[in-house]
Amino acid sequence: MTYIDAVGQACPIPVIRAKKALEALGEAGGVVTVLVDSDISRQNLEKLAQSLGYQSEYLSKENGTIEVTIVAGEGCAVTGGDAADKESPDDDSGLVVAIGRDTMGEGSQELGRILLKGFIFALKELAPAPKAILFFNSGATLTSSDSNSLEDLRSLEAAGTAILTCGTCTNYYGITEKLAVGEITNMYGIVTAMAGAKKLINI
Amino acid sequence: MSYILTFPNTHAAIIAEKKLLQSGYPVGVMPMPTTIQSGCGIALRVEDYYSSHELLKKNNILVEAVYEVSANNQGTVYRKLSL
Repeated sequence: MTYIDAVGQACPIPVIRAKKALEALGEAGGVVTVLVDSDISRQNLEKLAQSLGYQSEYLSKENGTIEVTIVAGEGCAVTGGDAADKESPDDDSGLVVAIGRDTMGEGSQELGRILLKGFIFALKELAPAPKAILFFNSGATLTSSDSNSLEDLRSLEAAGTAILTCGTCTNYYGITEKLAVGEITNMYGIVTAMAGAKKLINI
Repeated sequence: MSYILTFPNTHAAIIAEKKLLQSGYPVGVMPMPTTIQSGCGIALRVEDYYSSHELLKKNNILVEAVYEVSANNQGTVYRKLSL
């Protein structure tokens, strides 16, 4: 078992260290345990495990730290490349939508805002559902509790779309605690999702 | 949400959404379904079309039509209601 003490280390360091440790396990598989002190790091580690097809679990300790254990099964080693590059199943559209603003198009702000809400609704009609929707800069306000697109985003999430919001951005706008759908990600998560996309729509 | 409201123009749709949100009514935005020939390109989804429509009427926001939304094996069906 590999034990990583990542207390006090900001995202994405714990994730990078865990990924390296998982790669080092090779074909034999094994267990990597990471000690972190933020729930966002915990979520990102679980996402890492999920993207690699591994099981994970966590234990919240009394001192506020969280111990995340990732179990890498035998014979499903992480080999070099990112898991996001792996062959996608047939029902995977490979479509990633990047929303870096709270309006659609140039011109009137209020028109742009209502157009973007309509756009998010229309994304629901796509089959198969998009692989991921990335929210950053003012786009990050669309996943917060004040957004009027939550119902649509939740049904996209239920259809298998990963709803990922930039943590730097929610922090900047002071809305991290108001995240109402999906998960917080970091720039590595955004880059990985974009690079792994078969098609990328950039709003 | 099981009803949609359509509007004579985009401006009315925008102020209607604002008014419904301000008044705490559940409201969602959607592009006009292609099977409906009514109003502008934006429709609003509401839970309670009667009270939503009353609120908009009180505020002089013109609603063009109300449709009931249901699903059958061919997909989504929109049935126009008389106001």
